[in-house]
Amino acid sequence: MITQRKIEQIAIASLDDELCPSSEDLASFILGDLDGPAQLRVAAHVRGCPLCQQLAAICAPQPAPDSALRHLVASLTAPIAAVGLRGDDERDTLRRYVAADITVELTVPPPDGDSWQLVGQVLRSGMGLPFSAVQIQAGRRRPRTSRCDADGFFSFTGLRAGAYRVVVEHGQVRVEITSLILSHDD
Amino acid sequence: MQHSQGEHAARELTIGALADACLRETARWRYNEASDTQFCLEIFRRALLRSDAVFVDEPARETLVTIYTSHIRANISRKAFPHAPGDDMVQQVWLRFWQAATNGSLEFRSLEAALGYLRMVTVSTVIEARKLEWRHQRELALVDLTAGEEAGDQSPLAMSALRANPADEPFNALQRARFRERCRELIQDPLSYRIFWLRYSMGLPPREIARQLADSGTRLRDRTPTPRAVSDLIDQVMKQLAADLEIRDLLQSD
Repeated sequence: MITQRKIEQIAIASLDDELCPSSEDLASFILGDLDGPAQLRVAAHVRGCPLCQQLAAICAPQPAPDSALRHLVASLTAPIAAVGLRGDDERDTLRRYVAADITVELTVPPPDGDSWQLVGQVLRSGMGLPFSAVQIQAGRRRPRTSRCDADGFFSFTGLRAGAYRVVVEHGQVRVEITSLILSHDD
Repeated sequence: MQHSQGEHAARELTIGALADACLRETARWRYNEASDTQFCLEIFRRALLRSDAVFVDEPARETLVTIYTSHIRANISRKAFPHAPGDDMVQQVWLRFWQAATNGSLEFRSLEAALGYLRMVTVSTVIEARKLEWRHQRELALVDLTAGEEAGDQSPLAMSALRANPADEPFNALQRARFRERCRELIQDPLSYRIFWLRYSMGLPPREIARQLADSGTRLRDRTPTPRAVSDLIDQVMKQLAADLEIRDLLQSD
């Protein structure tokens, strides 16, 4: 009979880091410092590797204190109709915000009543920037935070209609989208 | 090699004067103010000078360590080391930095590149430390499970013998690879897959997993994760694995 203990044993024994990228490559990936192809290669590995995901989640440096952050306000380039960010069928409007070499792409799928979803991707020089911290806040309400995945994607669900401020932090850079309106009239 | 006027000026300064200028310019650079980072690059250059593979400018090395240790501390994740990173970790980072300089030739053209490199070395050192700790935890967990199963010998001697031979794992490489593959096929939901491995490869208790998921804004069944929900999910995955014929076959052939 297969006991839980036996499965626990093989599970503990099974995860090793032989196939993982080197610590240097993983560190450069977390910091968004790899060149394009290498960033894609490591991202593909991290997507399927819980060990590297966990390492990336806990070993990324915390955002610098406010005083040491480079604060950038992103400006909206013209909204364009686009296929959903993750290649969904529905055609949502893609809003692209740019600040220096960082781009934040946002799509807002059609709401379910007054429950909105925001799907986004943070990019640097066209490549998904992994594990940035993303914060969304409506007025003085409590902010909600999320962290990008290995490809720079993030999402928020259950948002109410209103004006939001979105802040992306990566290393010593903070990019702010000062006003994102979720409205049936938009 | 051509040197700019600024480089010439920096090369002629004493290490004390260089240190003062470097501290001042690094602070300006950090706050995005106009800065002349030649002084900082000169300290890096002197610190990395070698003759017969031996570093020759000890005062420059000490100055570099003094000025940029705070940069290392700032880049050590508090999540990886909640109880404040000790001097040990900082020393390990510098050790890796000097080793890299010994193995190749490090040369920096800008302060951004130099500090970016130091930051990469810091994060990779933290990664190595965490990997080592998890590996150790996995070995201990395996020893405990194995010792518990073999009803007989749980003496400290038997335990330490097992610890001394982590290669004596109860499953061969083929079985382990096949188990990993089968888990990937069976556990289709990426979050369930991640939680399962967090539990067993990192040895995190459900409470800690729930906390980490909540911290990163991840929701479980569209709710804030709770230890109970995490525990239930792990039980479900466990049942799914135990019911799978291929895994049963894999474990019985052991």
